[in-house]
Amino acid sequence: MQLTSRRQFLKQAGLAGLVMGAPPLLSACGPGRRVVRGGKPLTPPTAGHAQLSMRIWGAYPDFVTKQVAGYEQAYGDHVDLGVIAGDYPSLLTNLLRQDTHIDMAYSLWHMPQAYSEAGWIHDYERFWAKEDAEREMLPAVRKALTINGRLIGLPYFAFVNGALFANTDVLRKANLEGQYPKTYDELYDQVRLIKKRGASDTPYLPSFWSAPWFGIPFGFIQEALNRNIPLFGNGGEPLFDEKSQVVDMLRQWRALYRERLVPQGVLTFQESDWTEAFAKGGIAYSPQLQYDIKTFATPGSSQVVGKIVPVPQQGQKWGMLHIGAYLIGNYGQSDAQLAQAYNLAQHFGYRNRRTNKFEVPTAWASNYYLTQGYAAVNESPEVAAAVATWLPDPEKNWPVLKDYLANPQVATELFHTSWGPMWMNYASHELPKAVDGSEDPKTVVRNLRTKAESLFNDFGH
Amino acid sequence: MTTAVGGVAPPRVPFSSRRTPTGFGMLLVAPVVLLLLAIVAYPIGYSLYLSVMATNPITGSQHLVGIANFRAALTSGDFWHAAGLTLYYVICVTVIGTGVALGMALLLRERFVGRPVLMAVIVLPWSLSTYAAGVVWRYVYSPQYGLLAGIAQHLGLHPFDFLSKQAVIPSLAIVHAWQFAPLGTYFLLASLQVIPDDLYKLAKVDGMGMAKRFRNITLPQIRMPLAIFLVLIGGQAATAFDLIYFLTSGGPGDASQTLTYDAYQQTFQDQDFGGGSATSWLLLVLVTVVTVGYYAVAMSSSRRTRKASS
Repeated sequence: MQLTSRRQFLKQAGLAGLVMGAPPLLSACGPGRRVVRGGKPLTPPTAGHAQLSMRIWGAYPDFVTKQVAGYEQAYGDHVDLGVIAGDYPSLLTNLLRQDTHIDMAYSLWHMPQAYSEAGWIHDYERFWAKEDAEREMLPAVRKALTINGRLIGLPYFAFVNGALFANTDVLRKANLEGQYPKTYDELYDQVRLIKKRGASDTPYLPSFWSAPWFGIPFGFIQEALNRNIPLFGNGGEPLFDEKSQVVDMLRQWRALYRERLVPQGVLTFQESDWTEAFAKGGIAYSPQLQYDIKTFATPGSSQVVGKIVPVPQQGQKWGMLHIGAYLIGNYGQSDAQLAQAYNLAQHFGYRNRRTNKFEVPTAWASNYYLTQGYAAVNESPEVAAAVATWLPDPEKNWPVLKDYLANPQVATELFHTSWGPMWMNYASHELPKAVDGSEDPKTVVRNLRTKAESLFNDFGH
Repeated sequence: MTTAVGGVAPPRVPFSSRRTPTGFGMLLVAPVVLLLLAIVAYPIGYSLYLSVMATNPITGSQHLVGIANFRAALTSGDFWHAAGLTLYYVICVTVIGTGVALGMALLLRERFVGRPVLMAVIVLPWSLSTYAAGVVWRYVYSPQYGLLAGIAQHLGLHPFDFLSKQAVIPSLAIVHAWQFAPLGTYFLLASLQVIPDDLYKLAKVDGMGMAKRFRNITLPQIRMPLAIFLVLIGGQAATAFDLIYFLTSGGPGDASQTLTYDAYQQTFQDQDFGGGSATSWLLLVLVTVVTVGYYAVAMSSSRRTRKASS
C-alpha cells in the first residue's frame, strides 16, 4: 500500500493551486483598457429573442419590472433585470471592470467619465436616434452627458439636487410665511430667527448626510456653486485653497451645528432618514430631492401633507443639476448585440421606437415626479395632472419647481474628471470633521485641496 | 458486463478498496480542497499579489512596487487612526459581549419560571441578519425618531446622539455585542451545566461567598470555552464591516472608520487596490496577534490552575 508523504501532498496541492491561480493572475496583469469601436450608425434591430442584461439600483423595482415586461412583450427580447443592492457605484464599477455582461445599467452622471476612459462603456455615437434625442434633451442635460464630444448616456432622470423646500406650517408659526430667503446668508439668519421665535428646535435640515450617495460632498459643491465660489477649473484643477470663501462657508456650517439649528444626528443620516426627518414636520427649510414631493404629500409617510412648497429662486440659485443615465456596457459584444442594447436604452431613455412616445420617461415623471432630461416630458399634461395632486397651490408652486430645472448650475468641471467620485468619497469623510468641530475648517479645506491635487496629478483630467 | 468463470462470479472489490487509503482519502477531500482553493486560497494569494503592485484603476496597468503599499499604510495617519479605532472597538465589543454572555449563562444555569422561554428568546438577536439588526438599531438610536429619544423626551431629557463622534464606537459595540452574545451564552452555558451542584454546596459549607465560588469553581471550569469565545468575538469585532456600513458608513467623518472599513473604502471606493490589499494584510497581522495573545493568556492561566490543583 503506497502512502503519500506530507511533503509530496503539499507539493501536489501547491502545483494544483498554481495551475488554478495562474490564468486569472496573468490576465490581471494584462492591459485592462478595452477598445470602443467607432463606425456608422447602426440600424434598429428587427428580429427579437435577444438576451439582454440590465442592472439597476433598488428604486421602485416593481415599477421597473413592469416596464421591462412591456419591453419584452413589444420586442420579443428577454431582459435579465438585476437589482444591485448596497454600494451601487462601487459594485457597478467592479462589474464593468470585470467584463460582466451588462447591456444597460443605471449610473449617476459623475461616474461615466472614468468608465468612458477605461473603455468599459459604449457611447451612443452609433445610436440611430442620437441626433433626435440630443435635440430634444434639455441643453444642460445634453452637455452633462457629453464627454469628449460623445454622448455617453440617455437620461434616466434629471432634477435639481438641493432644491430648497419650506414647511409653511413652521414659517406661519414663526410669522414668516411667504418671506423666503434669497441667499444662504439670509437662510441661515432666518433659521436662527425661527428658533428664537420658538417655532422649531431644529429649523434647518441640510445635505450633511453621509455616504454612499454623496450627501455632504454634494451639499458642499452645490452651495459653493450657488455662492459663485470657484472650486475646480475647466481642466479639473482645484481652484480653492485656505483663503477661499469655502472656509467661511464651512464656518457657517459649523455654527449651524454648534447652535443646534440642525438635527444632531444628521452626520450619520442616510438618504431615507433625511427625507423622513423632513416629512415628520417641525423643520422649516431643507434642500430635498424634488421627487420626494410625492412622499411629503402621502398621508401614510408624511405628517406635513399640503405644507411643503419649493422656495422660489430670487437671484441666487439653490442646488445643482443631478442626472441619472442609462449606460451601455462594453463587454466585447457584436454590432447586432449593441443595436439590441441601444433598442432597450431607447425604450427607457427616449421615445418608444414603435409608438414614438416618451412612454417610460413619462411614466417615471407622472408616477413619481422623477423629472426627465426632456422638456416635452416634464411639461406634459400627464405630469401636470400628477403634480397638481402632490403640490399645494400647484398654479403658484409648479412654476417654481420648473424654474429650478430651467437653467440649473452644473458641476461639470469636477464631474467630468475620472477622479471626481474618489475626491467626493474623501470629502464625505473629511467635511463632517469641519461640521462637528473635529478639525478646523481651514485644515479641512487644505486637506480637500491636497487630495484634489494628488488625484489631478495621478489621473489628469 | 462481468463473466462468471466456471459458474462462480469473482468477488466484487469495492471502489474504496481499489485505492490506497491515502488515495481514497484524498479523493474524498478533493472537492473541498478545490472549493477552498477557489474561494479562500486564490483570493488570499491574489490580494497578496495586489498588495505589492501599483494598479491603475482605469487602464488596469500594473507594476511591481514591492513593500511600498505597506510602507505607505504604516506611515499614514489614517491607518493608525483606523487601527486605534479597531482596537477600541474590539475591546468594547469583547468586554460588553463577554459580560452579557457570561451574565446570561449564569442566569440560565439557575432553575426559574420562564427559563425555557428566556432560552428561546435570547437566541433571537443571533438569528437576525446584520442588515436587519442595523435597521432596528437605527430606529433605536435616532435622536429624531428613535426609541431612546422617545424615552428621553418622556423623561424630560434632551435626546442624545448615540452615533456622534464621541459615542459612535461604544454604540456600535453594543449592537455588535447584542448580536453576538447569545452564541457565547450557549457556549458557556454548556460548560456551566456540567459543574456538579455539590461543589457549590460544599463551597457554601466552607463559607465561600458568591465571588469566591465564581473564582474558584466556576471560572476554572469555563476558562477554555471562555477563551475560545473571546477569540471568536475578538476576531469578529476586528473584521466587522457590515454593521458599520449599515449604521454609520464609517462616520461621522471617520469616527467609526475601522481597518476593515478603511480597506473596503480604499479598495472599492477609491479603487486603490494596492493600498486596500496592504491594509487587509496588516489587519490580518493584527487579528493574528490579538488571537494568539488571547490564547497565550488563556492557556498559561489554565496551566497555572492545573498546576495549583495538582
